[in-house]
Amino acid sequence: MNGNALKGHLDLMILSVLADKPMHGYAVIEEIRSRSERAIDIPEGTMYPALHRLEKAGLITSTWGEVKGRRRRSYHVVEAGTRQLTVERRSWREFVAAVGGVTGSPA
Amino acid sequence: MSGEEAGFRAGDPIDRYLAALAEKLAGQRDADDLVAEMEDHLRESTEHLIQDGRSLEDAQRAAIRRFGDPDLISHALLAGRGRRRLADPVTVTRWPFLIAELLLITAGLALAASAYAYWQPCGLPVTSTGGSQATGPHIVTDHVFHSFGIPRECLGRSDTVAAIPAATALVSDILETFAYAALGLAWLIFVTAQPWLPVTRILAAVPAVLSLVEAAARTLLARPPDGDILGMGIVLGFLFDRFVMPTVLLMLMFCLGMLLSVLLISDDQLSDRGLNWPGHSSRTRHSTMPWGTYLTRTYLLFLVALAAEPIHNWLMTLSILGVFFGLDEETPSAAANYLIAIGIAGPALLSIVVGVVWRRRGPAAARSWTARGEAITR
Repeated sequence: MNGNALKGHLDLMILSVLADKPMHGYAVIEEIRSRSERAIDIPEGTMYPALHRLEKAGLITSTWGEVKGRRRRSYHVVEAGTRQLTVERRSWREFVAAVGGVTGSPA
Repeated sequence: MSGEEAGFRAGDPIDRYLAALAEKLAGQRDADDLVAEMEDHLRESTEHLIQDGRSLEDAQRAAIRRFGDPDLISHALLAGRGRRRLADPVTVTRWPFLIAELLLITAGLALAASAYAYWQPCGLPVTSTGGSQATGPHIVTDHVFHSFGIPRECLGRSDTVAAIPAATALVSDILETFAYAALGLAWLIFVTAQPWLPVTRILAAVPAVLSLVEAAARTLLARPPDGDILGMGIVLGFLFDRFVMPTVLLMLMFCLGMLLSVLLISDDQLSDRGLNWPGHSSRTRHSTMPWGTYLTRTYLLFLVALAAEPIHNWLMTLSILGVFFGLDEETPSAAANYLIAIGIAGPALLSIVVGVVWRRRGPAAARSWTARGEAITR
């Protein structure tokens, strides 16, 4: 699944992954890959603009640490992000149901 | 496994990728953080690929490939930040230089005429004094007077205007005031036309504003001596002559030295720095240059001034000390004069030397200064 197909849904996936535990960017990508059974494969670098956009929106926050001698930035969802995730999930289910109804393949 | 354990070395593909990314993110406040985050990602990705059986170099290239093109990534990172990349070629307009040059020439002629009006009535060859009227503290000693066979009555003019006919002094003052205004205006036009950050333009405009203030103050204080009932004109005149005028002149000289440094740089050198005069080609080079990089390179000459500033201050302090040493004497002492001369000429000469050296060093120097420029321009 390419990046265009995922356009508009990346934020939802990131929030969903981060809702479970704080992660750094690479871990978020690996988790998305893992959960999608490697069906979702986007250019890894495009994950960071999304993470930064979510942080700027106040849905997630980040902290810096050091791992293996490198600076590492980890993200976690804040309360506003949790609320937004609930909204996004509902919206996604409605979207899938609507498209499924049109295409004859309900979710 | 740390980067070192994995055998990473300076100049590997990831380093080069990060350098390219850093250049595109130049000017961003959090550029270092962004690059550090990307590096963590690429290193970790490489480590995992190595664990999957790939060679170091192959893993690095694969990690970079998966991460995406630096142009694409930087564009995405910068999107929505309010700082756009530069879309059009950067042009340093030539007209401010030309107008500044014309004004400087005009000011120079006015200063020369002012000096002539000041010294000529007592028979002193103007060329031998170098326009000392315009240089605040007068660099003229008793020895110099005698050496040139200058009439003794001229000596008083190095410290006071009392011996000068009012009409002559007025003409000299008017010309000098005009020169101050022209100098200030020249520098102001030059500075405001530069594509620097507002704060930089404000700082760089200080000498121009001081010069214009000096001109305005001189205009307001211009009156016959007997009209100065409370003596405020004398007091203010003393303060201007002893403190404000030397300071303004020092700053102006320094700034004019900077201007000359800019003019010394050839079109090719400007092009190498990512700048160009109108009508010169380097559009392709500029079309992809990030705003931060351009701004940094534009800043390079200003950085030269900043680097020289401590020396400038030291020389200026010497100059003011020199004024104090010579304050109560009929003529300033030789030592004081030397200090004054160094203080006045030093910054300008230093700027010129730095400009020439800078020109010779070329683009390599520009690159080496980039990081520091970014730090200052934030």
